Amino acid sequence: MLEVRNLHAGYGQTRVLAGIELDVQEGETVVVIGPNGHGKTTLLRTISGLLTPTAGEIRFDGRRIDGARAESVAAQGLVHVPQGDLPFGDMTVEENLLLGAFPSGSWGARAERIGRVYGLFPMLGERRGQRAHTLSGGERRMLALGRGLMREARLLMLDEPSLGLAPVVVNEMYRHIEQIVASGITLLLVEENFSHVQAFDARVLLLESGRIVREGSVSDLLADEIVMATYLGT
Amino acid sequence: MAALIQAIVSGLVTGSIYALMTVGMTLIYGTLRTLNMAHGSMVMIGGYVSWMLFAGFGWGPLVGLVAASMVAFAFGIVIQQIAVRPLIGRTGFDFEMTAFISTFAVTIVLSNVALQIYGARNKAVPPVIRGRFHLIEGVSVSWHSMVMAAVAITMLVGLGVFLSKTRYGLAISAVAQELDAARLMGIPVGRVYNLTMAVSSALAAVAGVLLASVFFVSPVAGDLPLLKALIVAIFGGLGSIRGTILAAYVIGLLESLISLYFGVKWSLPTLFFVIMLVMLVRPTGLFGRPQEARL
Amino acid sequence: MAAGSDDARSALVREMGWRRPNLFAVAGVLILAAMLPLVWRNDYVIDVALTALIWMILNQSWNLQLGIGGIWNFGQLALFAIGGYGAALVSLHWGSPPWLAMIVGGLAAAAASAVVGIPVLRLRGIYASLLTFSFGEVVRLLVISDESGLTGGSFGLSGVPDLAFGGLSPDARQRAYYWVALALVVVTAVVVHAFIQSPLGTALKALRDAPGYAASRGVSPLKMQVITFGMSAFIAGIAGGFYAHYFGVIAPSVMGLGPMSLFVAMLVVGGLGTFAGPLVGTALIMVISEYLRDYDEMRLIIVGVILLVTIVLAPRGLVPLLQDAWRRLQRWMAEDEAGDRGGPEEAASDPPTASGAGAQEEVTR
Repeated sequence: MLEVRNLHAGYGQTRVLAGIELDVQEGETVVVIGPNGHGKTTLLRTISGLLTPTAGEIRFDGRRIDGARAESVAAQGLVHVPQGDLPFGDMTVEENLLLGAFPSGSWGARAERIGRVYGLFPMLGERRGQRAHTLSGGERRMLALGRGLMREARLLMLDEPSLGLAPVVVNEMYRHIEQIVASGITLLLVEENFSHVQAFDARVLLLESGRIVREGSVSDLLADEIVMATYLGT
Repeated sequence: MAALIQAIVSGLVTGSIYALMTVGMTLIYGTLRTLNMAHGSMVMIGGYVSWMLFAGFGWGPLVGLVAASMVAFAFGIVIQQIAVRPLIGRTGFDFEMTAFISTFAVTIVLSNVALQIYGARNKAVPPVIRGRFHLIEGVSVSWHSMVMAAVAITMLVGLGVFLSKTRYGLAISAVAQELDAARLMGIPVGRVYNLTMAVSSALAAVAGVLLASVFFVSPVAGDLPLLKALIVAIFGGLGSIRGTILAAYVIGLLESLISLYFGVKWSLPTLFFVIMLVMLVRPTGLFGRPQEARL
Repeated sequence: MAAGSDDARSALVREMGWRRPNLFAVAGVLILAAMLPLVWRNDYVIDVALTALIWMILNQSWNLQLGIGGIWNFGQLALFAIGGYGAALVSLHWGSPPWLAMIVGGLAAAAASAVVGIPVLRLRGIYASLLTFSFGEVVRLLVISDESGLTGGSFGLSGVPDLAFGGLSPDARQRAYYWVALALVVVTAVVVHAFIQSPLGTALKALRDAPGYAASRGVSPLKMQVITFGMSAFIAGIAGGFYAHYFGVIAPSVMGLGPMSLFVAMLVVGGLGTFAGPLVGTALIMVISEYLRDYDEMRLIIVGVILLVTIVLAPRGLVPLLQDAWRRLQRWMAEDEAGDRGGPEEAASDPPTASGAGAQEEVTR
């Protein structure tokens, strides 16, 4: 579903991605791990169109999307839940969620979808009239996730869902994510911390210095002592 | 005492008009990070549309309101396309100052085109209803003023509903608050920009139609509204609609009271000094938030 | 960039078009300019050229704030006018020698700038623009509505005495004014250039482009901007005083949106923040404005269109555009000569241009 070939991207003079090769098949879960600052977030931002690559190709469902605007990529069914959540702070939880269904295809079904999201995250339902900036960190994370689920996502990309959250909240978060994965969504997940993704039946990619340097299943990487020493329990 | 009440009443009417005039400017700043110097021209255009329909066909202000909003709606999109959009996303210069200057250039062109077409002479437009309504002894309001206030308030309420209940209205707020997140939702930012400029310009033009019979219609009819709108917008805090509306009424009342006690001549300078003091204490206006430059 | 080292500083300074000007070129232009009233003995032409020179003084001072200091001052015309009125009043009522009056005008403008400056300099960009813009309008409206006779209301002050040239024929008087104006332009240019080359100037530019970094190096923004603002106001005031003495009148019509649009156009078309920008821009717009003398309304429309087109297509203005073109030409010629000689050094000294190499950065647009 997603093909990334020789992707280079950066900010101004700084080169971050130095030739990424990546594939995500339909129904798969792919996890990208790696140290901070090496390009994981940049990778997602380039795929979703917030950043224009300097070289390389990105194909989504066979169509090239590198250099396309983020709005049109999103309308094609690629949902990127960004790092930092970026809630619309002055708007209520409900308004935030509704905006998640903005594209005309999803807008019509928004009542149904919001019901589903409230079902998945009852806490959001309780706070539906509250302004987003009054939510706690974990609640904001769920809002961001819920917002992303308001569209029929062909591909869901999550950027460090555990970032900045207390361990208990993180566990709950990942239970939700497991539920989402179980429903058949194709998922591209970025995490710095390997420990949360051990339970996933996923393909793991290690991104270092702007390149994918190691690839394998969860068990493969668990067996790799160097990887474990560096990333487990960070 | 009666004079005081009279001043308060007219201050409230003025405040309503200021709110109508300025809310568009703050909306534009919120989404486009642009101080739209062509905003005053939209007021001027509203006045001219109203005058043309009246002088040409004898049609009253109601038609003028609709026509002026449509004309200004179109102008808003054009201005966005030629003066603002080309600057977005480019590096090497300060976006805000450049957009300030480009919209300033637009206003120069529009004023002088109006001058060329219509000449410098003021045109007169009659009020919606003549006559005054007497509240109590010594206090009266012209019917036209009441209509002005009513229309202004209606439009403001309408705008509020639009921004919080409709799809594109929410999209405008979204773009103003978190541009990246909005894009990731598939919100077409370019279209939102156009819509913001168009709606804001239409509102300004409506104010222009309302003001046409109070002040004359002329090529420089937009200058004072621009200045007032700038003052109100920044006092209230750029990007904050609530702040703008509150500021509009505060400034309307202030102007009225200063005129009453010190004379009309002193209202603007005093206002300026008040603003200056306020900015010392709250550099981003009453409700403004320090915005990240981002376009 | 490790600011503080001479290399970095000259790179910074060069990027703004502030390289040490080619002295031969400058001398050549100056000689030509000085000879103008002798060669072209047309009163009207000299008058226009003189006006252009006055605007050059004003625009250079304005450029110091807008282009370099990053101070959004849109009330500079009010400072110009305050200088003019100050000088006029002092020579009219106190019979001061005009030279002294001009200096008083400059000081008056500088004092006014201090009043506005204190709040303005703490404000961010557009908020400052509002304050200065409304300051300008308030001054203008106050003068127009002045019935006390002090400022002469909308008619202004007239009968402002000459610059003590006494006993010269009208032609010679005009020439004398012209050369004084030219001298003032040069002095202003030298002062501004020296200012920019000084550590003060570098700090100012650092402040504009990377305020966080500058703060960490202990550069106090307020002090820098106060000095820049005051200096710029003083120069504008002198220009105003000179204007009052030459034309003999000073009126509120020098302020307002109409004149301001011309000056903004001059600055922008020339190139905000560059050294030659205000000079080139003023000359260009004056020439265009003169050609359109007969089409009064069209004049401002066309100037407005030029401003719009310039700011949208080439926001940095003509001077940087020409400099880029010149640099590219030089590089192209250097490549032509001897393969690898002259290549790396040229490339390294190229500052980033607005057109960029292949538009690779979309970032959060």
